[in-house]
Amino acid sequence: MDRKIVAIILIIGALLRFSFLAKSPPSLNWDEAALGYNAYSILKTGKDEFGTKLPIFLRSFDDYKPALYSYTLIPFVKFLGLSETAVRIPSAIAGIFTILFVYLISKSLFNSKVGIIAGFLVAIEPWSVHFSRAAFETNFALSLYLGGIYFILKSKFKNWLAFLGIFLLALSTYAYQAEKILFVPTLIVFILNFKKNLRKSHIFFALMLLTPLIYNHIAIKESLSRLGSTIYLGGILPRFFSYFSPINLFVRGSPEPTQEIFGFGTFYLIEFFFWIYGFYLLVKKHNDYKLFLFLILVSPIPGAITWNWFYPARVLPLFAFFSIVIAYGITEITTKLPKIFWIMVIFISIPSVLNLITNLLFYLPYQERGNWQYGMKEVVQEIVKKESSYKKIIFETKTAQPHIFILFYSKYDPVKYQEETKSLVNEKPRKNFNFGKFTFRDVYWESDKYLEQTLLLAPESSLPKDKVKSSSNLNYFSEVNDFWANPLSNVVGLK
Amino acid sequence: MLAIIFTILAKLSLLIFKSPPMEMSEIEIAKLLFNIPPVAFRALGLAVSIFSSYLFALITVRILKSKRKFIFIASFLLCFISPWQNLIFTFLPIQNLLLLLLLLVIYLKPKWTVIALSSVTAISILFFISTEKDYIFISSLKPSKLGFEINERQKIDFLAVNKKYVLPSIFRKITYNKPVLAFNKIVGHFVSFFDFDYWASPVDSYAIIKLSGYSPKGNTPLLYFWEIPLIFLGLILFKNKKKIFILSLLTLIPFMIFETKLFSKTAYMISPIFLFLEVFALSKIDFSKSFIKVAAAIVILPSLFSYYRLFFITPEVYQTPQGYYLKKVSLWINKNRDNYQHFIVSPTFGPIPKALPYYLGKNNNLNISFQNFDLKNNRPEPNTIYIGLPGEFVGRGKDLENKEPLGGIKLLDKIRANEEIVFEYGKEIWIGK
Repeated sequence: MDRKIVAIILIIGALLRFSFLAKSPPSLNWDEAALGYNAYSILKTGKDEFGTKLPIFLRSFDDYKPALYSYTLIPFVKFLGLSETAVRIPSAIAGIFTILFVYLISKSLFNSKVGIIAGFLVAIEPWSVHFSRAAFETNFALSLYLGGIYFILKSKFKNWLAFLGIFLLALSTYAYQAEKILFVPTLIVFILNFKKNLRKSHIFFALMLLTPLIYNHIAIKESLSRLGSTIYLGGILPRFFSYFSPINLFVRGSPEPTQEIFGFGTFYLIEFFFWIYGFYLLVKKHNDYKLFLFLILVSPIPGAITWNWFYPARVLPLFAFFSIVIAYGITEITTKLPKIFWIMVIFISIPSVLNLITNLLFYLPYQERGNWQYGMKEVVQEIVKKESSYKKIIFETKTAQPHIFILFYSKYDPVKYQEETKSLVNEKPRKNFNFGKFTFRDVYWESDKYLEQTLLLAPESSLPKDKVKSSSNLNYFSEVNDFWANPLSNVVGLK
Repeated sequence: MLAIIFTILAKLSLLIFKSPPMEMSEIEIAKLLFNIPPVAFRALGLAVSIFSSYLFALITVRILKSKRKFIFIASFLLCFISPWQNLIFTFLPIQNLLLLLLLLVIYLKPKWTVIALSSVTAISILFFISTEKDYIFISSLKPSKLGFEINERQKIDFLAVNKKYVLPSIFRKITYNKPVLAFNKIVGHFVSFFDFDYWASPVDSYAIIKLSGYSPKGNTPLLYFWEIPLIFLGLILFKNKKKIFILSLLTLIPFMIFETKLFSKTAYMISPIFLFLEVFALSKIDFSKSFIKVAAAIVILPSLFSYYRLFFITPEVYQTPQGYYLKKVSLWINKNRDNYQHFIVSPTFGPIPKALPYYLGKNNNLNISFQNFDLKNNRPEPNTIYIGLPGEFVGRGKDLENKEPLGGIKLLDKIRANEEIVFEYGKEIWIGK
């Protein structure tokens, strides 16, 4: 019976994650495009965009992203092409595994009923749905991390499952930066709880798995620059408490617009009461749930030591654990409250879930598109049509890292790109994003109109239609608009 | 007891030498008290605060009954050094008095606790309605306003599909309906009370608390960060939770009626309950062990230092320059009253017509005109002192502090602040002739 219910929960989770994946969020952001293009580059050449062979980090925007997500993209890029769907599918699949692991962990720590409710909550909660619908490395890392937790919990270091658990935990450090910080405290929590069964081989195995990561960080000193610019140790404790602040979790969410669904906190509002009750019970029975409480206490560390206030991407494991707390609260209070109460809860919850769906399908793609570098696809598609006719392309855009969208949407030949950017390998950080025939700068029509065989792309303010159309040097003119007929860019071809 | 005496003296010194500029609301009340001078006004507030802390300590000892000396000292100190109490005695004189009244009644007549709390709650609500009538949260629950919000949300769905499709009516009625929206607003408002960032670090966490509608200024910590776990520990350990919940809900009624941005003013009555829970939690900790004492000192002392430095030494971090300008301009006029015949003072930087009589006191007989002026476009009057923002001397724009005033005006003095009070009118007050 449990299996059937879990299967239904996974189907619900899959529907919320896979439906209209390319449409919501409305476009790939620059990180997604970078992950996708680097996957394409590794597929074609075995090297990333900068020519590094089988990298552990992607230099990308000098943020040295962990490369594991890009590797998982390779089969999808091969069979589905370089597209939004291909880039986002691994994250959606990871989201399904997260549901499964939350169920299994809850079942291990508590009982089957808590497991089913926790799994169901993760399937529909705003944080989990949102992070599963875009190519978030953190979401992918979360599924690995939870997998590691589950297998170590199951094994208690007594059998081979412990090695699988350690392997998955270690793998999560190759998937996202936060897990690098979380790995050691998590392992310590398990060692303290199961130290009788701990063997030297477990420690050796963990060290062996982390060695390539540590070695690469030492060899490529710049790879630590991201950590250096993000970590801030002043005021750690107030920021630590921020991740337990109910208003952040249930009402206002995060100040990072791409890390939440508008109108929702991290969780549904109604879950607040069960969260409080679940925590109350856990603290009251803290001797029975020491391990779980310690896992909750270590989870916010990656968020607390960085300067941002309430940055969900760095603490997804905490949210998974909170879902379990909420499920525990619901389970324990079920028998104490009358049926009418539960009818009211369902009556209030259904509109919230439907609201989530309409926000995903309508509000987010329309109202929040500005936060997702929307419009680059449409503009690049126009460039691709005309590119071969021009020797130079000048692109004015306020979007940062514009080059990655050209590379992605035009499926730029990685061999050619690696050749063109050879000189940039030693330019750290990268300041010049120009490559091939592409130059990224502001367009000045009065001087640029004399250029030859050049394609100009810029907004109406820089390429005014009236002036442009009267130019004798004009070869081509078009206006690129979005789905709602809002202007994105004017395209001018010069003879 | 030495600790208590030391903290009282320390606060008195800070009050005398580094008291933050008075807000206009305080000036209005001080005027009613026979124009009591600022230091005396604040000292009065401090005296009320000391008495409140004393009553609070007595009440706590009476409730908890054990470890009397420790409970008394801990209660008094926690209450006296509490950031929220400090805010109340400094800037919120009405709340200060109401809290004293409440504690007095509870101390003298414990059985009247609920009645006293209900009465003070009612008085508070009436007071806030008269002073903050533009910020009533429950007015957003009117059916017409809820209906408007729902319509606006549905409009976006319609625009998102390029006006080609409307969701089925039944679906829209289930998803967007007034009862559920009202419920979410009320519950959301209640949950907004539990804002650890606003409680402990409103200045540092402004990037996130601004999502709740808080202004960039006017936010000071209400709790030290270490008080948060103590409160919840006290709540978990305290047996009579039902009474705590009922009393807490009563104290939060004003908060529920008004908008979140008035948090520190409307939710003030929960402060003694928080302090009580903290004292109770502390009473359960074994302080005989040295490492606990050392750990407590390491955690508590830096946070105390950090808070008091923020509050008394750098008030410009949380206050707008308005109160500072009102005080400095008034004192300048008072000092130079015999040297000049006519003053023209612009009310652009604050309600100077109301503040000046307070600072001048009985010596109110001056030839002062409160009016805007624009020396870029109008000639100055002779033998007249002009006091206003730089933009009124040179025209609005950027970096006005380095410019010379127009109209042949000679600058006599400048009062500097670190931010603009009116956009593109400069970060100073200029005094020119």
